[in-house]
Parts: sequence; C-alpha cells; structure tokens
Amino acid sequence: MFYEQHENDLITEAKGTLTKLKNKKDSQKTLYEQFQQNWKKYDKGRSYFEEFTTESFESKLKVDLLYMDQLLQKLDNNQITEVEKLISDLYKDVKEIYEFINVKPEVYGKNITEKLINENTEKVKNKLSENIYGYLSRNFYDLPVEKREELYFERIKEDSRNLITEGTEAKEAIEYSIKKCLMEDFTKNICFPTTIKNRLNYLMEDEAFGDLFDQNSLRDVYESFNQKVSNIARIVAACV
Amino acid sequence: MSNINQLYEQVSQLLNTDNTLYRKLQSNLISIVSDASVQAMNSDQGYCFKFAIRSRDYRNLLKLINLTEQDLQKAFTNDWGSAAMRNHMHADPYYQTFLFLLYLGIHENNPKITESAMACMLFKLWNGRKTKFFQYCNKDIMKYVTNYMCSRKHLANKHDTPYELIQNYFVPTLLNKYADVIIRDNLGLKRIFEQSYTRVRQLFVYRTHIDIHSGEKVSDGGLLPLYMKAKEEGKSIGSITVRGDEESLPQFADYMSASDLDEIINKTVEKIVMNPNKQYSDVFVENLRKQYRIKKDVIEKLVRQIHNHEYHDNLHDVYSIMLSQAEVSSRDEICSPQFTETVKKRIIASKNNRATIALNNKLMELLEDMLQKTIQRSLSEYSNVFHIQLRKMLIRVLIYNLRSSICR
Repeated sequence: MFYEQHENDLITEAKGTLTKLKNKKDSQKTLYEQFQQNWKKYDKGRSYFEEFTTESFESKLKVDLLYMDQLLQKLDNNQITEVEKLISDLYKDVKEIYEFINVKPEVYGKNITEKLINENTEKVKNKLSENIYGYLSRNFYDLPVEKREELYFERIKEDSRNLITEGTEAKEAIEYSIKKCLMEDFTKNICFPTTIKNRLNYLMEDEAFGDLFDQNSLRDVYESFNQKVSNIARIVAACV
Repeated sequence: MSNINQLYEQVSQLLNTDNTLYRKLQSNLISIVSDASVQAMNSDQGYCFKFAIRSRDYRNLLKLINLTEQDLQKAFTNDWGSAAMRNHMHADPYYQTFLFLLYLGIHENNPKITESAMACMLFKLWNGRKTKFFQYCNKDIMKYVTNYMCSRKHLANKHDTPYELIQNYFVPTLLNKYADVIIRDNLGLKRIFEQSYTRVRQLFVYRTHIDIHSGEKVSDGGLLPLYMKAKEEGKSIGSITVRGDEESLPQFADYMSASDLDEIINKTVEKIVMNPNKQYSDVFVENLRKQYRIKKDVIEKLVRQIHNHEYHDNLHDVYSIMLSQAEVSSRDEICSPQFTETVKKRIIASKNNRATIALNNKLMELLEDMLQKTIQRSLSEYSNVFHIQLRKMLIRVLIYNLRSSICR
C-alpha cells in the first residue's frame, strides 16, 4: 500500500516535470517568431503621419469642393441643391474619420495642394480636369475589356439587374452602373487619398487600436460615409 | 587649434615637467575655495552673503603658471571674438583665469582643479548678481523669504547658504552638462560661462516682463520679487509668531509665491492619491470619449488608475511643470473659465521648449504604466499622433482634478 502510494507520487511528479519541460520548449521562440510577434504589435505608420488639425481639414475641404464642383457641372439646379446637401453631410463623416484616425488631411491628386485655391479659375479647372480624366482613364477607359469585367462585373451585377427589372435597357443599365461605381471610387479617393485610405483600413482592423480607441464607432462612421458616397454617385452618374 | 588650447598645451607642458608646480596650483585653488567655505560658515547673512574675493588670488595663480593677463586676453579674444570681449564680464581677467583653469582641469582630467576653478568663477558671479539685485540686503527678510516664501523645491530653500548652493548644486550640475562640450567645442567655455551667469541670475529674477502700467521691466519669479513682497508687508524672520487660528493665515490672493503653488500641487496630488474610488461624472467621461475617441470603458479604467498612490511623485512633477508653464498668478486664474485656453496655449500647443519636453516625458511615463496596468498594452504599439491624443486627455483629467480640489 505504502509503496503503491509512493510510486504514484513519483509518477505524478515526473509527469509534472515533463510537462514543464515541454512548455518551456514550446515557449522558446525563434528569432524570426519573436520578430513576427513584435512586428504584429508595431504600429506601421507610427511616425509617418502628422496630427489632425481643423485648419488642415479646412484647406482640404476647399480643394475637395473644387473637385466636386467639376463633377457636378452637368447637373441641373435641383439636382445640385440635392447633391450639395449630401456633400455637406458626407464631409461631416469625413471630418469625423480624420479626427478618429488623428491624421492630417491630405488632398487628392498629383501636384495638387491647398495653394490651388489661390490660382485663377482656368488653371484650377485644367488641373482638376486633368486629374479626373487621368483617374477615369487609369481605372476604366485604358483598361482592356477583360480587366474592366474583372474589376466591375461583380460590383455592378446587382444594380444592373435591378435596373433591367425596372425596365431599363440592358446596355444602358450596365453603363450607368459602371459610371456609378467609378463615381463612388473617385469620390472616396478625393476624401481619402491612398495613404490615408490604407491607414484607415489598418486602424479599422488593428487590435491594439481597437483595445484603446472606439473602433466600432469608427467602423460605423465609415459605413455611413460609404452609404452617403453611394447616394451622391447615384445622382451624379445619371448626368455624366 | 584654438588659442586657448595652445595656451593650455604650453601650461600643461610646464606643469608636467614640474610636479611641484602642479601640486601648488591644485593646493592654491583648493585653499581659495576652502577660504570661501570658512567665510560662509562664519557668516549669518544667509542669502545676503557676499564672498570676499581678493584679486591677488587670481594674479598669483597666473604667475604660477607663467601667464599674464594679456596672454589670456589675447587668447580669449581670438577664440570668442572681439564682439564678445566688449562685454566687461567676458573681458574680466578674473573670469578668464578661472575659465582657463577650468579648461585645464577638464583636459587634464583633474576633478580638484576643475571643480575649484568652477566654484571660484561662480563666487564672483554670485557677488555680481547679489550686488545688482540687493544692494542693501536685510538678512532677516531674506531668511523669511528663503524659509517661508520659497517652495521646498526652490534651490534657496534646499541649500542653506550660497556657498552650499554653488558647491553642491551649481558646480556638479553645470560640469555634468558642459564638461563634454568644453572638450568638443571651441566655444564650450563661453557656453558654460554664460550658462553659469544665467543660472545664478535666475535665482534672483526670472519670468521678466514689461509691466503694462508702469512700462518698467518686472519679474515675478526669483528671490528679488519675493524679497520685495516680504519687505512691503513687513515680514521678516523676527516677525514670525505662532498663529492662533486659520483665519489669520495669509490668503492665497495676497500673493502667489512658489510656496503657494507648492501648496496647491500638494493638496491636489494628495487628494488624487488618497481618493482611489473617485467617481467622475458621466458627462465628463462622455466628453472625453467624444473628444479623444477613446473607448468609454477604457477611459473609466484610466481615470481610476490615475488615483494609484504609486503616481504620487510623478503627479507632483507633472503639476509643477504644468503650473509653472501656465504662469498662473492667482488661484482665481486656475478657477476661471479661461484657464482651459491658457493650458491649451501655453502647455498643449507649446512645442520644443525644455519644460514641454520634460512634461511630455513625465506624461508618457505615467501613460505607459497606466496602459500596462489597465489594458495590458504599451505606448509603443501606438503611433505618435495617438501619444499626443493620450497626453491631451491626461492633461484634461489632471486639470479637472486640480480645479475640483482648489475651486469651490
């Protein structure tokens, strides 16, 4: 009886030691694993971005509204009034997102800065048109058909189907849906140029950010922003 | 090679060939300092004390190392430029002698020569500032000022006599900061000299500004304004009596000295750390959430964490820097609605000055620990812009606590 008990104790102790050794071995990470773990934790844009300021947002807003002005040129007065309201709502979300991610707002387009607002109308128009057409060419006109299909087919499928069901001709429905897609993308680009968009996407998914900041509210505002962009694009696409 | 350096090479060669000379130089310097210490010990003047400086002391030293005043003048003029020499202090052979010996001590790696030369230079700087600001100095008023009006952190409160202040504070701190600069840079000597002047002067006056009523230059920090205040109010060490009731204590509005500031800080910090379960209003927490986009539950954890008693010293330091940066002159100023604007302008928006950098470092230390203990995250996981955001939030919470502890 005594020996049996003693033997059991020894076995338990040995098992415990083996488990400890195994755990220790598991916890010893290679340099690469440690690097990966730290890299995951590290905020990749930590010193790249400057802080948000109201003044920088106001400058961006002025340039963005010039872009919008170009996009709205073919709209009639009633449509313009409607879209203007939507744009004003949209920029409330844009401002909130910039404040959330605490990044200095950026202006979309090559060689375009807030200094543009001091230029003469003709120059402003030329520069902005150049950027708008450049964007459309890069993202639609200059693309081979297969690439266009690959990019837009899935996105326009539902919209086109709905329009066709409502009695619109198939070709017209597809054309409109593509325009809408392009308008959406372009408006999003104006609001959040690529670097900002990447930062936003990163923060919306970053665990550390989510532990400290109100990530869910950020996602909600971004969703509301997308909805508003879609509403604007719906009207603008019908007129361009 | 700089001219001072050439002189040094020449003197170094002389001293190294004759060891007795080296020892004599060292002992002469030490004896000047020890004379000063005896003078200070026998004096009851406190911060009204003036060192007895004999010009033969520096002349004897020069003679010993086989240099003349003209040699030094020429070397300093060449190195510092003739414009600097137009200033009578830069051109003073006394300062030049001890600056040169300081240079020698640092290059020879001889702390005795270095520290003694530095102390001798500071003795004369002290005398000059003391005479400028206190031609007639009443030792009793001065004692009242240093004991009762200066905060416990004030240098004059920490060190009983100017001699102690120079030996135990100015000499080590200045050497610690500028000894390397002297070795590296030709103008290192000039920097240490000018910094020494500034530091000694700051003890007497700082925060100088133009009074809009009189148009005169006035200072609201340092021994001079406190001394004048005490003199005006007839306060002196002899007038101290035990007070019978709280009513007779001087009111804050009467004056805002460093000790008053210290009292406010102590009271606030004590209130914070002694009150670990402080309840913050929902409106306040909600405002923080909206403004800084931090999760509500995290804000609640962080504001609770501030009350950790371990932060006592950190909080004390943070408040000291904040209030001195905000340049508050009365309790009412802290309690007025404009105080938030003052904080924004003088503390949050202010960048790249030494006080702001120190404040940010202190806040970061606090935040790092607070984050570790509440959400097990480190500041290094967040970008700089979020550090700024967190610091702003912390300042806001600290101001809230400051005001709730001193404003009714």
